[in-house]
Amino acid sequence: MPQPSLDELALLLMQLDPADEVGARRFADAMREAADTSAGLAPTSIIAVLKCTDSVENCAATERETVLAAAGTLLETWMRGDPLTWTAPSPQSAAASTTASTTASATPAAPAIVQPEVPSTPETLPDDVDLDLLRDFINESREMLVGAEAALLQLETDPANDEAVNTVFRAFHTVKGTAAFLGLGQLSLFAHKAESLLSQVRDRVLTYSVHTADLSLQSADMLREFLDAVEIGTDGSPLLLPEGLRELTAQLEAAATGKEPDDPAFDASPLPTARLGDILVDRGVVGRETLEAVHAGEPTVPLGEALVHANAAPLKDVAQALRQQAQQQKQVRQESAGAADSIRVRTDRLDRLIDMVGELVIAQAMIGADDVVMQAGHQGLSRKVSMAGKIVRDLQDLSMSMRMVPLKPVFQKLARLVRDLSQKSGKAVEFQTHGEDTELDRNMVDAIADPLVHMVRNSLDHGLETPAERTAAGKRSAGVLRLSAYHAGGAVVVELHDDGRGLNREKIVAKAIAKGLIDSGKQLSDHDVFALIFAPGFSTADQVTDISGRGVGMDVVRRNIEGIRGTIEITSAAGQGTTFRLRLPLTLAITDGMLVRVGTERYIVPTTSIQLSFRPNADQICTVAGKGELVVLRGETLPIVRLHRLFNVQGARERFDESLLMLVGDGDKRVALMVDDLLGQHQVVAKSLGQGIGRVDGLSGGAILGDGRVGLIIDVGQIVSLSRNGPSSDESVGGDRRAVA
Amino acid sequence: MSTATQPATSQHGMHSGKYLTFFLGNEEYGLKILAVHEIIGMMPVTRVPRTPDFIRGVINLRGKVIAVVDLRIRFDMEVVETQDVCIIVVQVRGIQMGIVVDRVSEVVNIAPEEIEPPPSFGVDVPTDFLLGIGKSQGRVKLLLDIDHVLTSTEVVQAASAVAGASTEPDASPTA
Repeated sequence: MPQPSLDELALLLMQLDPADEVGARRFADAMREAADTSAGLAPTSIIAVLKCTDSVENCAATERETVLAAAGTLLETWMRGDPLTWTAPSPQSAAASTTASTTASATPAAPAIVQPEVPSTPETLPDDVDLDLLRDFINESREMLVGAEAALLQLETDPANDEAVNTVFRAFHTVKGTAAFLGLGQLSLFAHKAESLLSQVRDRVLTYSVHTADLSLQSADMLREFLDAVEIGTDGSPLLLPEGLRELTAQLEAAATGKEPDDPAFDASPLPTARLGDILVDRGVVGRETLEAVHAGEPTVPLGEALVHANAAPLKDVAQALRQQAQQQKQVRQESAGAADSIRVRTDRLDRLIDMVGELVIAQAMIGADDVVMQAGHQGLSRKVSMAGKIVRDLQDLSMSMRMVPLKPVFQKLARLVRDLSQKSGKAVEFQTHGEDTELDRNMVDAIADPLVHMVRNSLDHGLETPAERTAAGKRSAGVLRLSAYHAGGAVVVELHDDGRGLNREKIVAKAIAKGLIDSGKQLSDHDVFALIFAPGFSTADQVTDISGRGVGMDVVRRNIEGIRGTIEITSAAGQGTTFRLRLPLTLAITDGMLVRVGTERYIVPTTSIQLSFRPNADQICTVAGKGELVVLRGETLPIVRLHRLFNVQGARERFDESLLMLVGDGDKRVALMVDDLLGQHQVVAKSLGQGIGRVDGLSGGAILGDGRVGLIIDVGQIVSLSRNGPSSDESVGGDRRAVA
Repeated sequence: MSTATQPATSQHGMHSGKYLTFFLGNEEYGLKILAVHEIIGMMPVTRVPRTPDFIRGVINLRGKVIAVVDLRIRFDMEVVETQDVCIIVVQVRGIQMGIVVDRVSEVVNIAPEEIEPPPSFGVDVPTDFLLGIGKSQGRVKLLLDIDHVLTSTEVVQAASAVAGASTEPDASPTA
């Protein structure tokens, strides 16, 4: 043992000021030198020393004291001649470890080094932290982690994808750097560990295996939990470290048993592109074997040159391939530059902008309809007005598009879910996504995320069979779950298809009868039977599993989807699979409505709740006890709701042969709404009636109509319940009386 | 003794300041200028069903839907639509509402000594919606507690079912 040199090291360490970065580097250099020169040091010990120096050099300034203290302990162990291990200091390990462990096992399950109480790692956030910066950091990091997760999933199918590795690496690296800058030592440290693992994958020290994949995904989760904890900590409450942090840290270290590379300056590394050899093979210029043989022959010469030397490929083709590579590099650079080409805007400002553009459209329409403009002899003026109108409409389209975001993040989240669930359930699943660039209003994207999670769980648990069942049925052992999104008829359709066993009609009917939902399934169509699974409390799973079937089922999904004015339908074929089809409006802000006239008033009835409108014949109408009015339509009797009575409107048409009936509502909550006239279909921007009035029964809000007046939007569901409870309530009695008086 | 009267005068004195005055019939009312958002001409009002009578309905204020209260109905006065009728948009506790008045008059500055506590006429004439009575340029101005006038509408609205039933019978014999 070269004791003097170690003594020198100890001296250097004692004199070192934790704030002195240059000194720390010098110390690290000296330590590496000592490790190099010392004979008889076990390889694991050398690795420990190298890890230690890496930490000393790369730790945040606030942590250096802790790291140096740990390095001191390592040095002591070294002096005793015991095998060395290095565990980067963290408060948990500090609390847990009391003695210097001398194990040199590859899995440092127990922290190997005595760590002093950590004064520099804060229990709460640092006092001087800039909260705005911190929030930005949290948001940005979350976004990066979403990207990282997507890349990790990409690696599942394509483990050699360097670009994906780099994306993940970049995300972890950025989190690490910023966290260190903000004084979030623990977070930075953990990100470093996660990053190190990936840098080894990138540098081909490690191959990307299932284990690496799991660890990386868990790391992404852990970082996210960390961010949540930090967010909670922004109000000054203590920073709770996520559970399982230590275990995962240990696993990460165990996985990275090779030499830990120096903290790479990522920005300087070349941008990820296809390799020259790959391009040449793809183009069919040269075979993979030849290529490898040539490369093995002249490993130091650039591949292109080597190929030409060996006459394996014509110069022209190599040059072409080189050009293509250069172009790709340029493209990648542009893409990464393009990613930063956006700014954050507060959503309330955006909403205000959209509102104001809406006003502009209406104001412009009012100018266009003005008598002066419409008069003959003002061609110049009317041309200018219509030109302004075109610009205003473009502006409206543009402002609407600002709220639109692609479905991609939701799909990515689901991909992750499928991966986890398939591992848990032992069902092999191939998850395919299509049309993830389809855009939806941001609010809608948020609103469908949870229902989709539920549906995916459901499909995996109930839809897809186990590999054994599938093989027995003559199918591929891996099930296919396909999620696709596309535009259709002014709406966005999101489809979830599985190629599993399909819905079992008999089982559903039996269950529905047992639950008292139906009497018998005889006269029900498949469509009606499948719709039963949306009934509250309905679940056909034979047993409650960990994945789904907790009693709250598809009824929640349907309610959520209908809450955003969407519809859901099922098609299924036994043995071939099931498809859930969600049809969603493009945006929540715009309602498709039918403008109806009732006396002097106009109302908007949402088109989605209208089934049909018709003028009844006298023989279709019958009354009950002289008061309750019913209409018979296709053998069904429906109560008639006179809107003018309910809303106390003067001058409405009273006779059935003069007015129209609109069939609204669904299921057993259908009524025939009596109105004077239909004025046409309009797209309106739904607004609240203002806090001054608050909620009004029977109305869901208001909207500015083309003439600048406010139109009221009818809430069909409430109309139905009003018409049932109405006659007994004081208010409507008063209303009726007033109408008569 | 003086200590007992002191808070009373200072309480009404603290309502001094600039008021926008308007007419309802012959009565001149004052509205604290800070509560006034803007004055707009009368525009088509959409009646909202199942709301109290004094809520005239809703209007489109540059794309925003706001409720409009008719003060004449609110104060049980005879409804007469005048030529100068207009809507004063006020902001109370962050809520914008319009109030329909016969005619906007002027902006006056009312000094603390010009303000007297609201009079009491007994139960028949409620005066709890007044901050006080201001006397300026020889005329009496009724200083409105607009907060009270408007926020109590929600309370009234909730109670309207009961109130509607109890007040309606007077009108019902004609039916």
